[in-house]
Amino acid sequence: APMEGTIQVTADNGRFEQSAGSGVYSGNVELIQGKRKLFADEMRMFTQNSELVRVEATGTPVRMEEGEGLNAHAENLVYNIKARTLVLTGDAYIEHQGNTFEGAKVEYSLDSKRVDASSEGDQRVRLVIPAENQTTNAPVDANIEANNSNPNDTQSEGSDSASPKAEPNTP
Amino acid sequence: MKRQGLLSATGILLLGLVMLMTLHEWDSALPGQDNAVAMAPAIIADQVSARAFSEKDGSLQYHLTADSLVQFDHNPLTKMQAPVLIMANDKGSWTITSEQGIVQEDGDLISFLGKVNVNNPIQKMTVNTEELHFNSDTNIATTPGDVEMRFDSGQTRAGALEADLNKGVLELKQGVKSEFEAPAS
Repeated sequence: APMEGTIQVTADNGRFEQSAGSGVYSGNVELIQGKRKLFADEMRMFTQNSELVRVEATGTPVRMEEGEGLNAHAENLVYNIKARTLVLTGDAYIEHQGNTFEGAKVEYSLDSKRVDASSEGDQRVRLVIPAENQTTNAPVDANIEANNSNPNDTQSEGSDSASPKAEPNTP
Repeated sequence: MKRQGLLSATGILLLGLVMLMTLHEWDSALPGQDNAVAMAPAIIADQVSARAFSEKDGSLQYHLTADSLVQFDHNPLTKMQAPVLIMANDKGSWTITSEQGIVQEDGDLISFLGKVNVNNPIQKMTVNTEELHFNSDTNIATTPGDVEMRFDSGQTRAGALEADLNKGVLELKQGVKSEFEAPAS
């Protein structure tokens, strides 16, 4: 995985609890790591062996952007720094190179650009691949799961077949 | 002539007596002397070392040293030069140093002023600020102004800090900026 730069966090206030091994930043919280930016009302940072390994962000909504090609928002976002994955829950939305994924839960791998979207309750999964993306080399590697028995729970527009592997591109 | 002389002598004598009594009742402080009395040191000590032990198990709790210490009689204040306070803590001892120190409130409140450094080698944490107040009764330290903290995986700056050493909770206020090294993948 590509080495990432330092992680900068700014906020109005911070609270750190030794026993919990975590710190909570609250009020206009921003996290910047290279081109990746997260904006939230609150972020809880988890350390392991003094290393920052995980960020749990909540917001109305939490917003995330990375360069031109990726942006996302949801009520909650968990950024696993080591595994380099994002898990968005609560009105989750990801747009990657024009393709959009919505669902109750959307998982995104920063390395493979793979998207896993799943529905829950009445929130369905929605996948939109613009026409121009179907012909050019911006295919999508998406795994869509419907968590309940309703076969029509997955709605995709533009493309109806499974798409070939996406080319990895560095942010 | 004599009587007038006598009167005048008696008059002067009486006047003098009244003056003396008035001056005596005036608490003997002449104008401008109040400040000198208040600032007059009661005790001056050099190369001071003081230890305080836990009532529970007798273990060393605080060890305070200072190059010099001045205690005032009319002013419940003790001033120190180059104080060093070592505080035992089950999560590693904290050492506070600064240019000056002031002890107030019967020893409960110690203020550290000028190039204040707080260090905990076990937790690999260092704090730098210009002013820090430590209440040994509540075991709470506060900094009213900018503070910078360095720890193993990064550093943090804030506008103010409050640390509860009993609970192990640190509150940072008035703007917080942290920088973490990215973990090795």
